[in-house]
Amino acid sequence: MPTTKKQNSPIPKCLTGISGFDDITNGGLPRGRATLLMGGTGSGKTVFALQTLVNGARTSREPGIFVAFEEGADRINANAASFNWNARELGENQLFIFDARVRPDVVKAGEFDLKGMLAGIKDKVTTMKAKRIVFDSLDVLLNLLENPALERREVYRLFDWLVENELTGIITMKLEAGQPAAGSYAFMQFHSECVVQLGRRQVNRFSLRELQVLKYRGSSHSDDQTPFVILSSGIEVASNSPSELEHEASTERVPTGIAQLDEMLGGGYFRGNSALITGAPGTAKSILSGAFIEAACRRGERTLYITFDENASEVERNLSSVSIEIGSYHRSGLLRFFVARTEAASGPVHLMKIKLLIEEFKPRCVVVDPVSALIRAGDVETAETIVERLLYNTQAKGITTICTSIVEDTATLLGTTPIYVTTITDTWIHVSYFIQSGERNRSLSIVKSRGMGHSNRICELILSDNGVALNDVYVSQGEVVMGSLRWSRQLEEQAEHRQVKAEIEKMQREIDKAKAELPAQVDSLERQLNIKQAKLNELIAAQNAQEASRTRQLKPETGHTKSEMPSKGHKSTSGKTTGPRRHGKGEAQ
Amino acid sequence: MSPQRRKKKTTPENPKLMLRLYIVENAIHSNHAIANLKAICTKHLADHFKLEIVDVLNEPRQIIKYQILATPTLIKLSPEPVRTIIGDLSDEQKVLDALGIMPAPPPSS
Repeated sequence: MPTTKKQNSPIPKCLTGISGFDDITNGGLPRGRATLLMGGTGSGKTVFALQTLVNGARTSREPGIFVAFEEGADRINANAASFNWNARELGENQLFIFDARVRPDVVKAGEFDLKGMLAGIKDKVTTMKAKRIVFDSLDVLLNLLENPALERREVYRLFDWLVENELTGIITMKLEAGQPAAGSYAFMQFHSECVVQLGRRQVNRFSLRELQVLKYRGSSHSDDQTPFVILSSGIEVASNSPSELEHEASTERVPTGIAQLDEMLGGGYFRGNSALITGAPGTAKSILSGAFIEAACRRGERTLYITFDENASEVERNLSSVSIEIGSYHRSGLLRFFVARTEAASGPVHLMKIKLLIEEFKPRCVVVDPVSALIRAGDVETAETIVERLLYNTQAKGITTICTSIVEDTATLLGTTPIYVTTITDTWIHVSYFIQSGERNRSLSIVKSRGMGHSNRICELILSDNGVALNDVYVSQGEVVMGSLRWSRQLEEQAEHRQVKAEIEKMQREIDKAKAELPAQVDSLERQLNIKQAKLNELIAAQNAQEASRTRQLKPETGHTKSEMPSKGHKSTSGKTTGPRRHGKGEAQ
Repeated sequence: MSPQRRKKKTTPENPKLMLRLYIVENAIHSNHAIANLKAICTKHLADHFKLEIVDVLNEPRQIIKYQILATPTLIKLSPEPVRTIIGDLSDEQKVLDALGIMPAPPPSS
């Protein structure tokens, strides 16, 4: 299989207009060559071929001819009319269906060739100026030829005729690769410039359609099996075109709708990035996304809410209970709901529908609640690509996307499917709840956030009639609230800290008390001292009085000089011990 | 002798066979078909038929109008029912069956 990696393929291409297919083939079918389109019954070959013709006639101004070997023109027309292509508007000079059914009563009596038919079609090609042609399906014709040598000759004739007439041809074959008959038609694959296979397989209870480009000579292409769906718009192929991945990284922040969370994220989510909110059921994931929606709508940004479990009115009611009001935005058309019950379709179908809705609605913000439902609706193998594709698609369009996912806790998350989602999304917020003393509380933490500084804090998420708020976690005394070692340590440290603090306070109080008591104590000591002094003075006075009376009895004329002595002594003692005020007090006593 | 006998038999029962043969001039299968058909007609129908040979290269519109897939294609236009035979008509028995012609008895009988 030649898979060159050239970006600008030198071979001219012809756009099919089938979204996704033109991406994986880097421009569509080989122009002026044959493409072999293989697939089983009901694999979508006819739809693919018709869609290519209708798109060619309408958008590329390339009229087309549908050569119908199997079904009548009326049925082909009805088939085309079942899609929203408005194929009936196309005139016969834009899309012509050649009813080339082999009548059941046709008798084959000998060998024949296709020269005449091709001459007739060529005449039509010339008058219509047709550029595209479909032969559906060739196996009918080959069955008629019955002879491998003739089959080969006529197939070569057909392919050469396409090249000669510069027609871009789709030749369908009712054939699955790997079938025994496939081997005998290998020459057709060899002779085709491009071989596309459509297949269908059962995944769980869903039917999953897949498309694969088996060969594309001289052109780069994706040779992966790519899921596709058939919707009212026709075939939609899931593809990640390289261009989808090339998007400018934005530095603009989009508020989360919760001021404290904006603060933790350093301003909010990045515009055009994606965030994942994980948590057990009931941990307010929908409320967090609801807050985001309300904020987005308040800014006047179109928002798409993809919900899998609830309908719009239920979502509105639930959010209203925490004062998040989005009903008015829903009614005004700013907010659009996409309610996809999980069982309704497979993951790829949901993805296609969502992509189409995004194309049409052009939202600035998208919420997928929960993305785990999208994953459930298919097998693990495709789930990964579904979410990836959705997020690449929204990122490429600069749409900020919030996904929620149900996980019991981060530990089990590591072992479960949605883990890769966490690698795709740029921000991962985890909400868990813990039950304590009859209360269930929610805690929120930011597990990762690419390209932005973010808080490592664990916060308590508080829901009330007034709305949503985040508080620092409260650690109650002697009890580990968060059930983690880290919190237990923090708690111990805090308890220790409290104890030291209490001791200091106690000591301080003692000192303060002592300080306050000090003047009173000094006072009391002073008083005792003064009392003693007063007693002493009394004793001295008494003694002096005795001596004086004795002297008067001996020498009465010298009594005056002796009487001065006690006053002198009194003065000197009182001056040494106390200040003038206290002295006075003491004397009064 | 035998053509005359059959001619007597068939004339009152059926009108002439109206045949149209679509060919591509000088294509090998077309040339075979012309030769084979003429031989069959001579052998079994004598002059009791009318054959129109259409070269689709000259009249390509007939291909789509009459839904001609293969060349050569022989169409019995009348009498009813209309029948289509594709191929170079090398299988004489199939051609006779499709055209509703009783094979002429061998000359010996």
